[in-house]
Amino acid sequence: MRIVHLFPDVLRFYGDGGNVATLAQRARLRSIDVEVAEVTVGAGRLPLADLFFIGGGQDREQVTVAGELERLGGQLMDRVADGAALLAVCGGYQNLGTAYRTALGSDLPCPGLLPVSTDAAGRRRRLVGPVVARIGGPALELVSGAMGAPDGRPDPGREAWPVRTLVGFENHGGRTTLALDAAPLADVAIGYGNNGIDGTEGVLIRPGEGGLRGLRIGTYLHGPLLPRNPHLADALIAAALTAGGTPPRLAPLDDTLEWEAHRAARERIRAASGSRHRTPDWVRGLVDPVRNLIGY
Amino acid sequence: MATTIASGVHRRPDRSGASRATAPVRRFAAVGSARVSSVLVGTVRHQGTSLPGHVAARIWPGALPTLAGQLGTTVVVVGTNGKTTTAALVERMLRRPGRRPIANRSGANMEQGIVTSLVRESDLHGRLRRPGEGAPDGVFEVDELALEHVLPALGPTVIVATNLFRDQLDRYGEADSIVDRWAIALAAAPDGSVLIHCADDPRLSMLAAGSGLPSRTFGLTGPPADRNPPGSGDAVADPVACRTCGHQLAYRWRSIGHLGDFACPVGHIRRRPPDMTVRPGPWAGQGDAAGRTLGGIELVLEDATSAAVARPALLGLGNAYNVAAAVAAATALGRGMEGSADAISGYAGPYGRLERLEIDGRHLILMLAKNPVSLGETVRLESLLAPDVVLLAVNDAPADGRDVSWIWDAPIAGLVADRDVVVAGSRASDLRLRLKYDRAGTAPAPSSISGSISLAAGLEAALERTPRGGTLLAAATYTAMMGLRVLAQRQGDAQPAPR
Repeated sequence: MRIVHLFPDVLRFYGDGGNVATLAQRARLRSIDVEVAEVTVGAGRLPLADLFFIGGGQDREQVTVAGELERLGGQLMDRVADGAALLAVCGGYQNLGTAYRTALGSDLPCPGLLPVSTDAAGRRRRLVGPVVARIGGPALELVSGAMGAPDGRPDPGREAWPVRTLVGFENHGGRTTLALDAAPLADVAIGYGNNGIDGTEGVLIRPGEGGLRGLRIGTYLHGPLLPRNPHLADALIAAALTAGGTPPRLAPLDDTLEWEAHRAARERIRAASGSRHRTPDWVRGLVDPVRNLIGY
Repeated sequence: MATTIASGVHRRPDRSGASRATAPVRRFAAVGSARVSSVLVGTVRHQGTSLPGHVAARIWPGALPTLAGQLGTTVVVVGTNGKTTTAALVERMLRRPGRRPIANRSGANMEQGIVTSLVRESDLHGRLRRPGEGAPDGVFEVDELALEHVLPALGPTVIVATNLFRDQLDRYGEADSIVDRWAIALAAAPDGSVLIHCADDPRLSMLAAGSGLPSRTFGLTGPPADRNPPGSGDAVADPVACRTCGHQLAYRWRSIGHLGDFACPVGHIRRRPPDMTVRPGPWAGQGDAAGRTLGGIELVLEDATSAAVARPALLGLGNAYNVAAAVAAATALGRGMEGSADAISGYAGPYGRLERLEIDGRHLILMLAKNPVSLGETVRLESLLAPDVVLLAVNDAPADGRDVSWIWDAPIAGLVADRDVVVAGSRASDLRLRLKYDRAGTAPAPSSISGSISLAAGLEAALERTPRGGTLLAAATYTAMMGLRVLAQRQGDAQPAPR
């Protein structure tokens, strides 16, 4: 399996490289040969690959990437049309949409690979904080397909696993809106998600939808995303292996560490935010400075 | 360009009309309350508290300009990495017989922290104590976001900017936002201020170019020899774009992260030769006889008119930059280069930065690591320090940064390969995951459902695995490092190195 990391030279904030490491490692543990290649700024051609990953970066770097995608966007569309899977996080997620307005109000060219548009204009506050989200229906199907439980229930051996949730951390100024017929990746339980208004987080386009055979996922979740959400990692690997056909069932791995980290994160986030609502900013505004003052 | 401001000469008249009219009662109440809160906090924790300053400033809003206005020389140190070390070096260089500069502690580097340190040195009338003759000097480490609030309240200031790396993105948003905030801060710098900054840092160079302040730079003489191949830098280099045209900068060589010999491909900006250069020599010595230091590097410093050799008990390229920054600041204030270099001879740095403690016959080395670059530099020193066991401790309290995804960007392979690694802190489970994916499948056994491991448990486990006479290297985020220090000092025969 070949994984291509797009523009790691300019889009590699927030530990997103950990997503590539996770995908590669989980595939290797299933005795799949994995090759990881990088496409940096200035490349003329996109190699063939089973999975493309693009991460997040600063606003300034996204302008650079928009330029690159003007040249390479068509090729990326071809790869995904042929069945390559795609995971786009934060900046990459924004750049691959149908429209993106920068913080300064200019519109960047976008290849329209994801049915979302993003507006970062205006001095609105950044949407920053931990996220717990519930995976939507389409995503759950893919996840359970990869995990080998056809009816969506986890294997008996993994009953305690919270496969319906995603945990992560978001940090973005842009507000993203889904196209009317696009399905989100998940619904936000704690956090802002795509825009802090409609309760959606990310986008997921199943293989074959929209005329492209590859699975496409976009999200704002950092952390990085995949180490603590191994079910999503496996869904991507499975889709990548079959170029959008029926996903194989991957051999189960010992994911005790992953699920412990996932559960721990979920509990911490829930405890910190209290019941279903985020800690009001004014409370945090009082508590954090006091902690800083005392030196804790 | 030699820029000198003589110390003690240009004391800005007290600008704050409010404080001139501030009733003595208010000042008394402010300083008195600060004293009381100092005692109260001291029972809980006393390192790095800003509470006294916060209390004083609430009662007496003009505290900072009034007290700072009584200082002779004011030096402010800002930057992502190296603030504390550089401020400590400058403080040493500015010492005179019988008097030390007023300085704040690294946990107290926001506005209130500076007020805390000033109030501690003031009498109940709001006058700074003046040991010896002349006004006291001030050396303050300032948090990146606090600079724009602090600078306008000070007099002419020597502003030392060490570097600008990616750090605590959940607080700052992006490194670029810090640059924007500093541009605002520098534009409001008091007349007569001077900017000392790293010539190898393109972010700072672009900032300095736009600030209009007289500046003096420090940097390396050429590509550092400890990178392989020389000048290739490391994997944690962030992309930096030219602020004029947006093109990514090109490099002839790199040192740490995005520092190096940079140039805009179109030609808008390029690295200028530094006013003061530093050339690190080899690691000198095995430490002192009592085993309290790890030895240090020889640093050859040179500017247009003089040269000197400094031999602090410090290690690593980051510290070479810190020493150059401090000497550049001291010489800008009229101190001699040789005297400044001598002032730091044998100095092993502030607490928590390669601090060496002895516990139960084992050597514990504490290293602060809070972002990919500082963790990367720790990894670089690994072959020199040769630890038997490594303890990684990551917390996510506000002072540490709530988002710990940066641990995935630091190349830790060199630190953890073929070695016993223990993890601790509130984000221990994230560390375990990180290790699992770095060490290709082998993972330490899971232990807790909560995902966090107490520092005490982690330290105990790590010490158990370290043979007597062996070395335990602990890399930790800020509050974890402070916690480990306290634990280590409590344990039996822990002997902290003299500072």
